Amino acid sequence: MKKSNKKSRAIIVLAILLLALAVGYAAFQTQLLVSGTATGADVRWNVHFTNGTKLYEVANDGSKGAEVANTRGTVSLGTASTTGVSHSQTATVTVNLDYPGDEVLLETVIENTGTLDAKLTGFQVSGASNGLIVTSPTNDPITINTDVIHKTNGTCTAQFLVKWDDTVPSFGNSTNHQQAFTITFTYSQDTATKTAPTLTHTDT
Amino acid sequence: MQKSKLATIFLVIIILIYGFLSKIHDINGLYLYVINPLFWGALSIILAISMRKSFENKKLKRNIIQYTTVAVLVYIIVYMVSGLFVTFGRNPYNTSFIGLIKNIWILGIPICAKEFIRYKLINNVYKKDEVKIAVIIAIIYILIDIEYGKFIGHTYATLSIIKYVSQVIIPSIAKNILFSYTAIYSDAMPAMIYQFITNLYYWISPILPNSPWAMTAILDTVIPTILFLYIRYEKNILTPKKDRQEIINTNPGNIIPLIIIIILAIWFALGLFPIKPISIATGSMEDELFTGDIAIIKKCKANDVNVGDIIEYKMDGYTVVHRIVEKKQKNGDFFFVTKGDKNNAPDKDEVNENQLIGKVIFKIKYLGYPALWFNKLKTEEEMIKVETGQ
Repeated sequence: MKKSNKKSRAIIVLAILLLALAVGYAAFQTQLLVSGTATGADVRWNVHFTNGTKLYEVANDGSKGAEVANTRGTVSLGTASTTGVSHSQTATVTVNLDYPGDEVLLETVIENTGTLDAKLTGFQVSGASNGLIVTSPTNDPITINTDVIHKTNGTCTAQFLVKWDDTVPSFGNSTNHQQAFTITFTYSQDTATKTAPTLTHTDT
Repeated sequence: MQKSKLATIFLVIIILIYGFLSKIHDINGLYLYVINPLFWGALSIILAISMRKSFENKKLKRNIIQYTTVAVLVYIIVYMVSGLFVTFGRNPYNTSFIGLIKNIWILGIPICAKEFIRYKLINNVYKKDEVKIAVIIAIIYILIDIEYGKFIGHTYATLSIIKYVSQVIIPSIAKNILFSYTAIYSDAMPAMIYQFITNLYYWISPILPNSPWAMTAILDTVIPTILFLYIRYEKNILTPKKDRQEIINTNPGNIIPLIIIIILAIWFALGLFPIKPISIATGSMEDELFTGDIAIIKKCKANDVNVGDIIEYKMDGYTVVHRIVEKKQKNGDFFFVTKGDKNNAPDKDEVNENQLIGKVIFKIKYLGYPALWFNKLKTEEEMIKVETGQ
């Protein structure tokens, strides 16, 4: 009987603690550091940039040109290894732009290898300063590709223009015209789709 | 209906075939929203109607449910508190009321039905066959949990495979051992409580911790394992024929503090706390830091570091530990000029504040060598894969 009372008391204490935590988190939500989509959700979720995320030159007609050389720019996906896919929601992009108005095209490929449908909810660019601007390929603010990234290897592509703001005379640090920024996407579950997937759609 | 080993084996084969079929075709809306919940739900209803009720030790059953409830609450609390160290992100699950109902249908029904089916099948055979059937069902459920589509047609580095095994397979083994044990000595309730409540937290919380894979892998393995040890201990106490010394030997309370210390040490080594260890791989910071030393890094922002501090910063695929020789500010951003103590010149590129990880606050000699040897093995294996295309 005593042991059973101990367990019952433990359950009550833990339940109160859990409730207090939930109330505390709600009350202090502005102090909690909440950013992006949680990477610690259960194993059903695995939406990430793939190694297909690359930088390209911008052709004369504004379309995607050849892939840039390493000296022009690189994309790092953080946890990507030399073989195998990346599992990162954040890409670090480093660009070397030569003159005001110079630009490159960042094409991101996002893959869903989880078991649930997902949809993009936004992109966040951080670290871009000192003359670097990131926009949609039509020079508009970044829009969201709301296509559903279906599960089991479904993919979604989004393009961004990375350019040296031509109203800013200097770019990068004092030794070279190089800047780095990070781009992070957020996503959430899509519970609306019940039929077979339609695949890639390029955000233009 | 009398107990029937033949009927049990037949149903186990049905489950195995269904599990196999569900892996070889693409998971689409029809499977997720219709076929999967209906299969498991219908099978559990059929078994509930057709198979006889089992009689369990009521006291043991009550105690097991209590232990399980404690374990579930501890799991959720530890998981929530971890977010204070690793920060939070928005929950990807649809946490609206409609979203919750849908997730209960597509995920909750199969989870609970599977545990009910496990219990019914185990209790549909005589005592001498219970353990065999329990093991077979556990193996089938583990095989169903594995996402084979991830591996077919892809090449993975060793670390990715270790991650998947640690996050999915090992926790699945731990849980299936636990649930099979509780199905033998109690009923389906403990397993259903554990599975449903832990998943329910994922479906309703608006925020979740950005937990590294190692943290969730450890939680998902250790808590079911400790729960199993407590339930086994409880069962031994209530079994009249058990030797007293044997009961004392199986008391898990003796090892809990050790397990907690080991977990905290692993999390510290993985850098989950505000201070973390790293191994020094080169001699560029001699005579302050030598190859093989451990440097304890305190995570901090640009405002917290100054000229003379030794900082760790991110580069493309690796990190560098060098001393700040100049600190600048341009357009609101901080930049650092860094230099290795043993190098003749400062580093080629300035370090942006976004690259800053933290500063060195302590060092320990020689302890970093094992990590360097392991890293060398990992790099060699990856290079082999690059060269051979495997």
